[in-house]
Amino acid sequence: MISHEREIINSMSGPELIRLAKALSVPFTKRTIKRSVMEQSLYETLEKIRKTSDNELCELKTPAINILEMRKDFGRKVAVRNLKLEVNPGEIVGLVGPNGAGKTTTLRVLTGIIKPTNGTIIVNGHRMDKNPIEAKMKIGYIPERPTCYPSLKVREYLTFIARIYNVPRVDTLLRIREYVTRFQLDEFLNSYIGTLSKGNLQRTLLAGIFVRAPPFILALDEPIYGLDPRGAWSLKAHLKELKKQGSAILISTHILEVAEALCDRFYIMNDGDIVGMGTLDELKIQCPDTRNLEEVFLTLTGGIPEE
Amino acid sequence: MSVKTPTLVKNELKMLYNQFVRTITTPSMLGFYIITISGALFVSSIASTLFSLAPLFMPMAGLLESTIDQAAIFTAIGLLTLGSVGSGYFGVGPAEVLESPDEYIMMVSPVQPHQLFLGRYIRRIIRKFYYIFLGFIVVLPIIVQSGLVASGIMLAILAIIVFLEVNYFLGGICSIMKNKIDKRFKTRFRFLAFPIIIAAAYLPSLPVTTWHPIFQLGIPANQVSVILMQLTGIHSPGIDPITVFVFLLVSYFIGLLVLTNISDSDYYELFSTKMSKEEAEGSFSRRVRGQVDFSESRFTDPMIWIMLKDFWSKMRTPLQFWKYLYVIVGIALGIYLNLFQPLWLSPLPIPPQYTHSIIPAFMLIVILLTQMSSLTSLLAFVEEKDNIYLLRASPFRSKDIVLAKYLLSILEIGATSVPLYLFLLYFFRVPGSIYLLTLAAPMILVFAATGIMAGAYVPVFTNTPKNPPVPLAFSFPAINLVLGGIILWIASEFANSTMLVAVLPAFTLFTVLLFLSLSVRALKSYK
Ligand SMILES: Nc1ncnc2c1ncn2[C@@H]1O[C@H](COP(=O)(O)OP(=O)(O)OP(=O)(O)O)[C@@H](O)[C@H]1O
Ligand SMILES: [Mg+2]
Repeated sequence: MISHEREIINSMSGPELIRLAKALSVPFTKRTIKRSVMEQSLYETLEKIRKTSDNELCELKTPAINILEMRKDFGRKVAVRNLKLEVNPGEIVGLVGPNGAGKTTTLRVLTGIIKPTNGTIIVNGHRMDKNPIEAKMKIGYIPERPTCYPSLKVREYLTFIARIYNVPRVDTLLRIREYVTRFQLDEFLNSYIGTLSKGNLQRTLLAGIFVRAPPFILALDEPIYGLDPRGAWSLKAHLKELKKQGSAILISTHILEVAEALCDRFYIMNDGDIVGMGTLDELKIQCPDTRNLEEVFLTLTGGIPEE
Repeated sequence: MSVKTPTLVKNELKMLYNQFVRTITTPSMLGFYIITISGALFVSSIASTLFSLAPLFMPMAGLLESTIDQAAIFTAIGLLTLGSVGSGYFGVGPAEVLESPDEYIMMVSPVQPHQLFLGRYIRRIIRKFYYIFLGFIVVLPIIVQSGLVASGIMLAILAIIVFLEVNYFLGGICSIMKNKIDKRFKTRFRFLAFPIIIAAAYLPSLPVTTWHPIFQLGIPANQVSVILMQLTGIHSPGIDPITVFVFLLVSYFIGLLVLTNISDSDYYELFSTKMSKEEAEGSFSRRVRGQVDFSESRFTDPMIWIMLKDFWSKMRTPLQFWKYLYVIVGIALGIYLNLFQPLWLSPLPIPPQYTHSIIPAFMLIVILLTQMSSLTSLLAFVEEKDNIYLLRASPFRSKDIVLAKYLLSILEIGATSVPLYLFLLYFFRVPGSIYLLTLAAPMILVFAATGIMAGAYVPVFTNTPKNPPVPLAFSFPAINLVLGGIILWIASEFANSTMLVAVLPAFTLFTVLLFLSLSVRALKSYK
């Protein structure tokens, strides 16, 4: 953990180092200073702080996401019917289903954007209808169609998000550097979000989630779609890492190979209903004569078409 | 644990500042701004010469005072509150200030709904003041020339703006009330709430109450009425307008605080429904687009097809229906007035010594009315939103797209301005007005073309074609006013020569072709 932070400090640009020094209130009396000296003193101060403050990772409640008998109607149309869904910390769960099955609706209800017609949403032990602020504190959401404030710069957006989620200044600076490197956003840090390409916008939103303190409860709606192979790869790697650290992740996707490689369990939705759930092995037992997730999916959502 | 509202406000200010910086560092945007301001200044300095006619308007104040009584003024201004309460009841209330990214970023984050509203609202009000400031600079020549008291005009404008904001709050409060009532009660009696609210909103503006000073000073609509009456000197009640303005400000802050306090997460849902409705409409028109087969008769049909598509997709919006209704009723009424000249509605009396110097005023009004109706042409491309890229990618020639938009705009502008012209003819008896009015035809042709051009440039400047950049929207009327002025100048310069029949059409044709070809160029330069 500590050596990890040292690496981040080493990769910081000059102005970033100065910002960090201010945040750590490290005094510099000379007009010029050698980079290595500065890095060293920043690093030592940081180490001191980390030792004195009890830097324990808070843990998520089990289950981290708990949806009970949820139903959502849009007028006469039933978008989701009696959904029961749980995601535990340290788990990646896939929500798969054909177009219009109700995946996006489920995620929007889960994140508190819209209210369910019936049922209860409990996130990290807090009910969404009673304590929305506490429930939302840990949620990270990537929407189906990413949008963001066009007249903010990427760095401004990330700093703003960190403020909203009460991230200390020092951590904000370190994490922005870390995730900007990870998602290759370096050259866009000072561009307006309105000028970013779709994939880079997606990366910015992802970085916006990760400037907060782990562990997370993630609701990702088609997060891979729109990323290039390298971006997709680093996201997948990062999700696996987060899982190890105890995050709870719910992914909605059509890309079954990705789902199969990434997820521990699946919920298969069709027309508002859950038509299958469990690990891949359990699903294969449920549907005999199937070899992979694709075949299970097709069987449960209308049958495998004849060749 | 809790997020502080100043953080949100600071972010809003940052966004405003960035927008401003982006505008003044983008040469083309800056260009449009300069066109706007210098054009508008030019026009307003021309207009200011009209104020040598000021004596004409003096008797009008007296005339108004003798025909309208004080109670009628209160009742009329109260209608504004009534309107916004009525439409607010069915509107989205606080959700009006949200933007689409809010749904995915702010609604998901641990921010209280009222904080989000407050942050967004503050940005909106700052923007408003910025535009008012620009507008004030532009009309400065008129104010100076006319010898009116600048501070009085400022106060009147401020009072009206604050009053409109108060109305917005009232509408928002009603919208939240409606939601609460709909949730709590399922019986049919809940529909009674609407007439009750409407009655409660309008009662304080009726003569039964407005005679009492407490109601005059305590109700926002009446406060504005008092300020305006005092400033114009019509039925001046003899109360210091500044004092009343302070009362109005108190109403404003009460409204803001009430609306902020009762904003809860229900308005998130309203916003999200509104957004998905918008998206649904978009996907519908896309489907329509997909079903049309262009393989046959590709060269003549696309234009007509785009026009039909635009016509029908416009018809789907409720506003359009009312617009056509207004056109039909307006034309009928206008013809009736001009033919039968009813006694109960008499034209404005114009003293004989002014009949000739009134002509420029008449023409200026023609330009302004035409400009007002030609806003539709600016929206012709903007209304396509993101579909504009689809349209661009479809097998149409850019020329056809532009021409289709242009022709439909001309029809629309023509239809909406005819009733206005008819009213103008009736109320403003100027010698030879019928002949003067023929100049409206070249204006419509030219204004539609500038509108199309400005609209076509929107996606060049921004990649959110939904919101036209402000300088573009503002430069459009400025360009038009100048062009309208040129048309007038040509008409008066060649008035006595047969050259007119050659010069005016030539100028019209030249400007129209110029702007349309610029639009085609804009369309071709989309990324
Ligand atoms: N605001 C809304 N109003 C009316 N119907 C809606 C609304 N939002 C979603 N629906 C309907 O609810 C159903 C589920 O939609 P949802 O977006 O959740 O599907 P999805 O599983 O995410 O599909 P996709 O894979 O295409 O993204 C659809 O039939 C959709 O038409
Ligand atoms: Mg979806």
